[in-house]
Order: sequence, then structure tokens, then C-alpha cells
Amino acid sequence: MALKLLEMGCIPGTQVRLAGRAPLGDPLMLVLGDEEYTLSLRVSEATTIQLKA
Amino acid sequence: MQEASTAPRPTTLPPSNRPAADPHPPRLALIGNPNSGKTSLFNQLTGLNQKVGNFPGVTVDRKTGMAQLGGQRRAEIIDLPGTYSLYPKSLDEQVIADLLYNPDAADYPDFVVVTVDASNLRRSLLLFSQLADLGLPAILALNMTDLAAERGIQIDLPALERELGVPVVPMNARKGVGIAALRIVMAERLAAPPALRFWEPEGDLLPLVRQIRYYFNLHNDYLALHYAHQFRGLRFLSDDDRAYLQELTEKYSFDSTARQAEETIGRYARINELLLEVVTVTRTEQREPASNKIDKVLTHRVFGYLIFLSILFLLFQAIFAWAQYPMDLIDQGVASFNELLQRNFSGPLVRLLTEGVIAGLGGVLIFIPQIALLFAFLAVLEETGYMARVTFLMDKLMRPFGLSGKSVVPLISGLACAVPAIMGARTIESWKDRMLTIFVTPLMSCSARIPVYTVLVALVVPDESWLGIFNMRGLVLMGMYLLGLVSALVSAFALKKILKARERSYFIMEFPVYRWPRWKNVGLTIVEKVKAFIFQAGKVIVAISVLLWVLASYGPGQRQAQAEAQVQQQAAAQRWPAAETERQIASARLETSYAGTFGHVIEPVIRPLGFDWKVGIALLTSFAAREVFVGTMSTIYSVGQDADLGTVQQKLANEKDSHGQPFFTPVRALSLLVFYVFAMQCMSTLAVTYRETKSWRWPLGQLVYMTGLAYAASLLVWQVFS
Repeated sequence: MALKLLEMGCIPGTQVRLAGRAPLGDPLMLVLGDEEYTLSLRVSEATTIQLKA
Repeated sequence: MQEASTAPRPTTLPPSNRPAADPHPPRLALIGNPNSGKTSLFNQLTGLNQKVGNFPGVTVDRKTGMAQLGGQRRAEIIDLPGTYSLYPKSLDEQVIADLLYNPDAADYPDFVVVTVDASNLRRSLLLFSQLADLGLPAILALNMTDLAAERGIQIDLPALERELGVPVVPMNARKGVGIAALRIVMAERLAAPPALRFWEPEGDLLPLVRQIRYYFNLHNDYLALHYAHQFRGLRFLSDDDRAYLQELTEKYSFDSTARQAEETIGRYARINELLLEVVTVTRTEQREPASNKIDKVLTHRVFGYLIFLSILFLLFQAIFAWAQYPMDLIDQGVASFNELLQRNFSGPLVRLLTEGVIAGLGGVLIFIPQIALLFAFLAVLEETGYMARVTFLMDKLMRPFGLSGKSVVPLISGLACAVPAIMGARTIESWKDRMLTIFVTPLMSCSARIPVYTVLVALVVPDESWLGIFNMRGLVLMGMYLLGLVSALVSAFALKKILKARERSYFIMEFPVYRWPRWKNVGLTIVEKVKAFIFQAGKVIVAISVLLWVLASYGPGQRQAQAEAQVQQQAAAQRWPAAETERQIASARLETSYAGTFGHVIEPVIRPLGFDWKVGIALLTSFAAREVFVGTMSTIYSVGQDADLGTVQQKLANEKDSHGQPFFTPVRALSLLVFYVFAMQCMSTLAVTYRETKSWRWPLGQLVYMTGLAYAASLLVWQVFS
């Protein structure tokens, strides 16, 4: 899972922004980095990401 | 194997085992991220010269086409599945590895064209960097330049070319801008293997890598590294090869996951450096992109679903109602053609041709409008980017049943007809989700069941209202539909536990920016799907319908002739009008045909369900198409083929059993109704399932499961309530 995330651009040091959630809470919409492209992923997949303020 | 003729840089070309003078046109592979406009580019380059086949042994489509290059030259293009990286995360992506790691592969390309989304350069270059390190000659198609411009992203093209070491062709594939330039670049064979390396394996991996290179005689360190990572999944390796690699990787304690992570991070670092030199972003204002604004509505907790429901409704209307007109036209066309033939020729062969083969063909052609409409819809949804949002909205609801968010559209389409619905399940990437969807979609009550439902419901449910507002017949009808839906969901749930997933199923996906659909792409998709259906599923359908026709028209020995003679005697004695005599003859002939024999033979088996041999015949013939049930029943009860449903109902209502009581009691009709809710009474569906799963196991499974379900349900109803 982490590998897939890395390949999609979730490199350590990238900025992420939570842009929204699906109406039922799952999945999530994340906006990555400078290019600002949107990814959607399940909560179970997102929990593998660690955030640093 | 051609050399890059005007390349100013030194190149390290991979040695090839192929002869120097290759008789066939150059072969190139189109590769790139999903949503990078690869399909548009493929369509632009090949137009209608596309073919869909499959890769041996896998249910992945192999899309190829011929492209015109500049100056009368042509090239063969193979469109590879979209991927973010050479490390496969799905069956589709596995096919890429099989192709690109094996220079001896039949499809091995002479060079690759990599489509890159200019507005997403950083991530798109990951794949490119991997291809470069493999030493593959490449051309970079820098697509979506308009999007990049909108975002204030400026790319220094010569600098990019210099940094990457390959020709870069800017373009907007959807509008067709830059395609001509690409054709010229391809024709002049400027594709060059980049001389630059993006990333090097860590020093401690070198011994392992070198050993693999030596053993397999590979030209490239990075390729050898991929062998180490992926050998279990590579089809072209022999068992011995794999055993060797297994040994080797264990000996060196090779941790594939950790190394991949290291590599990906390393590549991004290099890409970042590169981009700093080449790209400048000028943010004009902090304006929220239109896409996000649209998304606020379309994924809204209330509006999002409402809008989705209305779109579904529209889809349903299209397949169910709009398709009727062309369908009726096709029906009439086939019937007129048959009439023409029958008027001018006669004899048993003519009957086989018209009532068997051509009728069967008509049965295939009649699906075209529905398939075309469904795929038009799907293509538009996919092209605009809305499909990703659909998956997003529906995923949580579908997950408990082992289905994907994308399963919703095939399931709903199944309410009109399972045939296009099953074909539409293509959009589901996860193999397990897709198989589950295909398997349970036929349980959704399709429109062919409606004549059956209508006749039976009207037979036994009084035309009254319940509580003053709900029409009872309507309620029972709805009940049948609900039964179908519930059984589909429950079956999916059960099957999910049984099926082992072949691959880890990821949900994570990109939300593409909204954009107008490219109608050319939509059109080409429709053509492709219709062709595939006719030539693949169509063959099976025609074969089976001819078989069924033969069974219903011919009987063992002299029995048919005898029966007919008997009817003639009766007709003379009782002075029937000609029309009545004809109907009685038809009925007698059917009774004594092979189909009739079948009905008698299975009667003991279906009697516990409340059926008799007459119903048994109809069960066999309606396998061709469910609505044939009504036709067959009317023949058996000698109602005549053109009778309306009212007449059929009356006749059935008058039918008496051996005790002089009405045969079609409410319970019997209910039993038959329930049977039809579950039964797999449609050879076209089986044919399509076979085609989509490329195996007979699945359609056979459907047949067995659904027939079993139908039998059990019917049994329950009859035994409990009578």
C-alpha cells in the first residue's frame, strides 16, 4: 500500500490537504503538493500516511 | 531493430535477437499514466484502424492499430494499459512488464511513446524515468499543454529535451494539436534511448544485479533489478529461471518492498531537481479551479446522490425506452427479409435458414442499439471525469457486498438488459470486483422478463388496489424486482467470501479534472464494443438459437407426422376454420418435437415445482430469450403467434388440470414467477459472460447457481403454499 501511495506522489515532504470526504465519510479526497492534483482513497488506505505539521 | 539515425548523442542500444532486416513496419508501444490522454492519442493516430484482441492467458484487452506516419510510412501501435510505474499493482500492469522485459516477446516494441500530462509533470515522469533506465528508445508526448498553460505552468521545452535526452513533442491530443509533429518525429525515427540515467541501484545491490545480468544475458542493470523484484509474476520465465532467482534473492537478502520505496523516493528527488531547471510556475491569482467548484456540488451529500440518481434514471430510460425504436426497426427488417426469402423459395433448408440462422442473427443484431447507447453513456461519463466521482460516492455502499463503487452502473443497466451491462463491467479494474459484478448482474430483473411477469401476475393477482392507492399487480411486480436486487446483493456477499482475490485491490485513484467529452473517442468506443459483441458473443448466440430451433421443429421418428395427421382428422370431423387448424397443428408438432420430448422427460423433475410438461417445453425454448416464453406458451395452448397478451391470459386461465380445476392457480403462477426471477434463462447473457471472462467456468457457474436458486425458490413456494 505504501508503495502505491509513494508512486502516486505521496513522497515524504509533500504537502497534503484534505479537500473533502464522501458523504458517508469514506473515501477521502486529498490534494497533493504544488501541482494540486486530487487523489481519492479509502480511510483504511489513508491511515498509512503519517503527517507532520 | 533500427538505429536512431540522427541522434547526436552516444546511444547504448540493447542487442536484439531479431534479424537485421525486419519485414514488418516499426512497432511502437504507447504508454503513460491513466488520464494522461493516451486513449485520445491512440485514437488520433489510428482512427478506425483499431483491433482488439487479447494477451494470451490473461483477460486483458490487447489494443493495436496502424498509424500513418509522415511520408507514406506506417507503424504498428500497441496501446498499453495506463500505469503509474513499472512495478505492477494489477493484472493490467503485469502485462506491461511481460512485454517490456522480454526482448524476444512477439510484441516487443522498437520504441515507446510516453504520454505525459504537462500539468502533472512531476508524477508523470516517474514512469518515464523507469523506462529511460531500461534503455528503451523513447519519444515524450507532452500532452495537455492547454491545462498546464491555464495553471500558469511554463515548461522550457529545449531544456526538458536536454535534461531527458529524448525528443519532446508538445501537444493537445484531444484537439489534435501536435499530432502531425509527433508523426514526423516517429517517422524520422528520432526515438533515442536516453543516455542519461535517472537513478542507480544502491552499490550493495550490484553483485546481485550483475549475476542476474550474466545469467540471462541482459544488456541493462536496471532490467536485471526488475527481474529480481518481479520474477514471480513474469510469464516468460521458466520454472528453472524462477527457482534460480528465488535462490539468488534469498542469498542476498533482497527486500523488494524496501528497495522499491527507496527507488521511488530517489527517483522523485532526481525529478524534482530536474523540474526546478525546466519548469516555472506563475500563479496569476488564487482562483479556485472550476473543477473543484463543480465537485462541491457533484459530491455533495445530498445533491451528489440526487444528481447521480437522475443520471442513472436517464441511462435506464435510454436503454429501456429510446433503444426500442431502432430495436423494432431491426426486428421488422429481419422479419421482412425472412418473409421475402420464404415467399420466393421453399423447402426445409429455407426454413433452417430463415427461422433458424437468420432469426438467430436477428437475435444478435437486436442488441446493438442497447449496447451502443450504454457505451455511449459510459464513454461520456468516463471522458468527462465524472465516473471517478461515481466510484467515490458509491464505494462505501458497495464495499460490504464485495462490489466496487463502479459496479453500480452495470447493476442498474442490468435492469434493462444484462448483455450490455456485463460488457460495461470492463471499467472495474479490480479482477475480483469485476467478476462478482458480472456474476450477479443477471439476477437484476431485466426487461425481457417483463412479458413473463406481466402475463403471470395478471393471471393471478386481481386488478384491485391495496389501501386504496397501491395497485396490487404493481406491488407484486415491484416485489419481483426487489427480489432480484436483494438476491444480487446477497449472492455477491456470499461469493465474496468464496473467491480468493488474485491481487490486492486498491481503491486509491486520481480525480481527473473535468472536461468536455471528446466525441470522437466516444464514437470509436461504441464501434469497438459493438464489433466485439457481434463477432465474439454473436457466434455463440446464433449457434445456440439454431440448435433450439431444430429441437423445437423436428421430432423423433414419425411422431410429428402422425400427430399432424390426427389433427387433420379432427379438423375435418369438427369443421374447424383454417386458422384454427393451423394453430392446432403447430401445437401438435411442438408437442411431438424434441423439445416436446424434453418437456415430457423433465416433467418428473419439475413437478415438485408445480410445473407440467407444457411448461417444461417453454422453459427450454425461452432459454433463447426470456420473452420467447410467452410465444411458446401461446403455441402450446394453440393461441397463435400473433395473439395479444390478453388472449394468452384467457387461454391459460381456462386451462384445466386432471381434476377439472383451473391449472394456473395463484400458487402455481407464483412458483413460475419466482422461477423466472432467478433462472438463468438467457443464452445471450451466458455468451457475453464467456466473452468477458474468457472462460467457460463463469457462465457455467452462473447457469448452475441461478438454475439451482430458481429451483429451490420455486420448490419452496409450491410445497409450502399448495
